[in-house]
This record gives sequence, C-alpha cells and structure tokens, in this order.
Amino acid sequence: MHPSKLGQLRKGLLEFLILDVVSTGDVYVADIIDRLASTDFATREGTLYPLLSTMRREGLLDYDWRESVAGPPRKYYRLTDLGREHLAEFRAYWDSLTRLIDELGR
Amino acid sequence: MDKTILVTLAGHDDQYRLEPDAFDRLARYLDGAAERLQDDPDRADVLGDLERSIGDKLVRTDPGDRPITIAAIDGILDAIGAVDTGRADEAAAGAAATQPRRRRLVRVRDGQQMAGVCNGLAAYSEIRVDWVRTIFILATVATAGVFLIVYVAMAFILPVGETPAEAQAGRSRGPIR
Repeated sequence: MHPSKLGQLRKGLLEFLILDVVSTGDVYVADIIDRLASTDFATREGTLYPLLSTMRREGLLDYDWRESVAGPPRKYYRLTDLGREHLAEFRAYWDSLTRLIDELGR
Repeated sequence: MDKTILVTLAGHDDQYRLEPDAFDRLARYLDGAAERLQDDPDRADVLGDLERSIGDKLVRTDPGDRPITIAAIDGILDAIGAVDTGRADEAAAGAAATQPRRRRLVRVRDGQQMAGVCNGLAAYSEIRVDWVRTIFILATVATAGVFLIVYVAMAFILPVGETPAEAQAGRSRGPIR
C-alpha cells in the first residue's frame, strides 16, 4: 500500500492507542513512549505533548502532578469516564471492522 | 574561559550552563515550537512539557563542570522531535489552499501586441485586454503622447510573467464558489 495512506490511518489510530495505554493505570509520558516504541506507532514527545493536551481538553483524559525521585514533578495521566467510553466504542468498532474485512475478503 | 549562557527551564530549579551555539539551537527549537503552537489553546502547557522534558534529559547528560555542548542539545532535541500539532497543520494547509494566490502586475507575452503591458494590466485588473488597449490609446491621444512614455516605462519596469491562462488560473483558484 502507498505509505502515505497507511500514514493517515496510523495518525488517526494513535489517539486510540494512547487511550489504550493510559487505560492500564497511571502513566506518564515516558511510559507511553516506551510502550509504543517497539511498535509501528513509535512516537516522540514533540507529537505526544500537543496530542495529550488536546485529548485532555476534549475530556478524554486528565492528569495529576506527582513528585518524582529526581527532577520536577511529573504529569501522570488517567482516563476520564468519557475516555473509557471512547476506548470501549473504539474497541467494539475495531472488532466489527476486522470481522468485516475478513468477511469481504473471503 | 569561553562565554557560556545560563538557562533555566520550566519546573527545574537548577540552572544549566550552555555553550553559545548550544543555547542558540535550544532557543531556536523553543521559538519554533511556540510558533507552531500559536493557535493552540494549550500552548503554554505544551511548552512547559517540552521544557521540563529537556531539563530532565539535561540532568542525565551531566557533563560535570563543562558547559553543555551543541551535540548534547542536538541529541536531546532529536529524541523529542519537532512539535507536531497534527490538526493545526491541517488547518494551516487548508487555509493556504483556499487563499487566492497573490496577484502580481507583470507583462504577459502570450498574445501581446507590443511589450505585453496592456495584456498584463488586463490579467491583473480582470478587464478585457481590448478595453485596456483602447483606454491606453485614448489616454495617449488625450495627453499628447505622455501615456506612450508611461507604456515604455512600464515595459522596462515590469517583469515578464506568466501567460494569461496561468494568471487566470491563479486568480480563480480561490475558495470554492
């Protein structure tokens, strides 16, 4: 497939994968980066910070400041109710989509 | 000792001592980030995130007594990557696409009678070229030739531009009507 087409798809999916990672519990940015690093969705902070801020403004997630052992306090992210709802919707949609792709390609 | 610059970053109490070129690189990165986040309501928030992260990484490089080098800054900024606002970029691209191309007064050689001045004026003003020529001739007669000098002057001053078709296309490529 043309790489830019996959790129578009990937860009759209990143938001949901972040919801997925954040849903595992309190995570901070380095955790998200580590989790995605070995995947197709490796992301750098320059992309992540603006996206997290936007998602927070949309009410999908929120953060608490927590002290760290070294350095300044860190933002620990968690899902809001709306974020959990979005993630559940996305998973259901993804399941139906993969089923559809299987069926159509048969 | 060489000149160094002390830098404070959001969230970090410590100051960092940077070599001048390292400072320039860092300042340019943060300026670029601020510019890209211009229309982002979370601008201050994101810039704070970036500064905190840069500070965290600077602590880890710990060059001892020596100032921080441009190589160290490059490594850090490379790991963080350029600020990508995604949606904002799309908005900017959309705005650029709907913005009509800036109109320039040029001489148009395609279909010219003399030097293409009237042709260029016609493309610029959206008036039919025969009308422009008629006005020019009448003005020349009325002013006993002064306008001929204007024509010659414009022929020298104006750059040669695109064909009328291209000028037309440039003009009508505005917002979809």
